[in-house]
Amino acid sequence: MHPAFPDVKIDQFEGPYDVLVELAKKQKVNLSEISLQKLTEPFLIYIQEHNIPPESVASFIIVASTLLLIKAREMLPQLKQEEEEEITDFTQRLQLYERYRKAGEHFGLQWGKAPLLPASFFAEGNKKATQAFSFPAGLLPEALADALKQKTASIPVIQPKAHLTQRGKSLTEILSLFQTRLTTSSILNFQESIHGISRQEQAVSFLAILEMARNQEVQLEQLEAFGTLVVHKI
Amino acid sequence: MNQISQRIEALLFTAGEAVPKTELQELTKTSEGELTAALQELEQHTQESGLTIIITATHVQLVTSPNVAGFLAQFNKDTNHELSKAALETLSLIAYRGPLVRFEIDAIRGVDSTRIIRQLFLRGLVRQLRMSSKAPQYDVTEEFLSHLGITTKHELPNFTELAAHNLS
Repeated sequence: MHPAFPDVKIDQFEGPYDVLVELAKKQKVNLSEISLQKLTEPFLIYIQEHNIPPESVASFIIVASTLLLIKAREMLPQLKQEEEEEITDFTQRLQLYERYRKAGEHFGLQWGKAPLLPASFFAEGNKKATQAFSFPAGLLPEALADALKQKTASIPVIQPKAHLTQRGKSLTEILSLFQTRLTTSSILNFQESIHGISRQEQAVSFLAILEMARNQEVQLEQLEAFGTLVVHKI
Repeated sequence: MNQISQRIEALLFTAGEAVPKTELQELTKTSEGELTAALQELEQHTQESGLTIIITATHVQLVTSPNVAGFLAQFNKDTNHELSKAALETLSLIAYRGPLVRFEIDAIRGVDSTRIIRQLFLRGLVRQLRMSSKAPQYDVTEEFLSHLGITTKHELPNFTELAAHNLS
């Protein structure tokens, strides 16, 4: 008996537009700019709940950020003029995608129902024989290994252009750092507390206090642009 | 049927598979225009027959006619492998807008299509047209058309509308 193989199903991952079209169907809305706002939340939830393959992550993030932009524009009318072109382009592309997707569904219904057959289709032993690749008879594994070695040796080694940097503290780490600090004193000078740390960590720290302000854990006070930023514990 | 059409029919019959147009031109010593005319005549001629020709941008194949497709389907035990959603939408783009480069497919699908195009290529449903030194373009094959029971992509539903590159 053969050992039981796990039932592996290799399914082509569907892209972010496909997810949006499905969500729109579920909510019974069209893909106009107005309706897309309603899909922001479900789309973000979808990303969190699904394991998106690394090669598709970027395209999902692009769509998520565009949806957030659409929502932001609606909430802040002064942003109305911003990124107009980008959003029109996005909605148009989405609608274009939907049309071809629909046409493709028709292919699915017709597929193989009444095919036109080539010569010798029913001929014994001739069927699709040319489609499959088979190794030449008498091929030794050693010869194959040698060929592979030769081939890989001729591939030039690519030096990575990007270089690694030490990972800074994450948002959550910095967040808890501020929270601990605020347990001892109820007021913090932001500029003082970020003095001497890397620019990246400074940026993350700034995000951290914004996040805390949003959660109403702290109140921020700054009397003038670029002035001292004081963090009050609420 | 004129002599060129007859010869082409014979070549297609003996080849038993799709033949590149360039090869037909070479074998029958005809120009591109003469070949197109001959194929048109052959197509006309086969209308009364159980056979027909599939014509793509680059290839021609002699196949059974749509008139007998239903009849033949009953003997066809070859269970069809279903196509995934991603495969269908990618084929749709290539069929209506092809020949086109991968970038355009990616742009409309909103996601990288390298893998799905490769799968379609391995299944013989799309082919690469190499334009010298440019990015390869993709188009559907006779195999694709034959599965749908049609002989040219102009028979696809709403072809003129969906093939227009600037859809409003």
